[in-house]
Amino acid sequence: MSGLVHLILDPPQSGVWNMAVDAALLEESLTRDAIFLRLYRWSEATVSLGHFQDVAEQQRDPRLASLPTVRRLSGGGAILHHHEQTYSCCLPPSHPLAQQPSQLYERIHAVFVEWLSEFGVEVVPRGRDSSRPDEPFLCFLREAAPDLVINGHKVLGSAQRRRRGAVLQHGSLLIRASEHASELIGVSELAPQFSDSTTTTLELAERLSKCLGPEVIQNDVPPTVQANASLLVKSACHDR
Amino acid sequence: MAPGHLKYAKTHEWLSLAGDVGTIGISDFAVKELTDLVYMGLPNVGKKLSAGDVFGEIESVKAVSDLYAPVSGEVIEVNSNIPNDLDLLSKDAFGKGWLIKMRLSNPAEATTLLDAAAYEQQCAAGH
Repeated sequence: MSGLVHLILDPPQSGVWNMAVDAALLEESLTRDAIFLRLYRWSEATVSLGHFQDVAEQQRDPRLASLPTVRRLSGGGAILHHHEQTYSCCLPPSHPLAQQPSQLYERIHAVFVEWLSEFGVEVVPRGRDSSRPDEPFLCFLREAAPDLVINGHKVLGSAQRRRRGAVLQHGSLLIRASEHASELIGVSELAPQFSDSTTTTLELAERLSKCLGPEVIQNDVPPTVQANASLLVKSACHDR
Repeated sequence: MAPGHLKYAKTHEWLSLAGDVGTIGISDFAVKELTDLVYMGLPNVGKKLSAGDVFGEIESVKAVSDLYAPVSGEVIEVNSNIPNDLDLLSKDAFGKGWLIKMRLSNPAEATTLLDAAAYEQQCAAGH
């Protein structure tokens, strides 16, 4: 592994495409022994289900029932992706942070804490897991130790998929509330001094890159990944 | 402690061989590393697998991970208790926590797996 981080800053895309690219990047990371970091958003409000979640649960919430749905490779609760900044990173087995799930959560989340603190936003790790036997459907209503919270409100959650020693970790920073789940408020509502702009996103990308490797190069999604993602999209449509 | 009569894959699956039938599970080391288990998906009986193929998926509070067939063959039995009682894995990973039984198409593949001592060495190195 070279330590070179391939940074991809993607425009907003559909949920099916976003998840297919993350899945294809995980395979590419394994095949090429390469590190990928991707920042992206969503072209429309979309619900992503945790890997084992039942789609029927979504249908029970009338606010979410009609929204596009995609299944994640990672686990956990459903996420309503609307006004958020999403990141994903894929690390090959040889990367030191690929060995221990907790370390990768901690390191990436620490970067968000540091970045948000530049705006004067006080965000802290929750530090404890929920012991509830009946977990809520939505991820942002669940409680996990690595979550980042502002005054008790979860603003960042992440999840992992591990494959043959490689790891995909992706996570969502809730920027502001969606009309489809107004009870979930974001950083902008909790800390109005926060500025969501292209410049600040670039600063975040730079900080995250440094956390994953000493060098960074900005690329588009590699053609092999585009091709594999297209196949995954076709397969996802076929399975419906 | 890895039982001495089993064989082990580097990816933490164990194999118990009786004739051409192999019982497969995951080690207690893997269960502890995964921490709290949430869901498990196992294959249907009749599924044909080559060594190294994904045969199942397990979700813990930390991550979703794949499970790999240590040998080639056909799935002939699935432990149907497991998806509803993941505690079996924590309590008895090498016994009641077995996952699938396979009829091996090439039993000689089992000789390429690790013995208990080599597997424990791998675990001691944190892998």
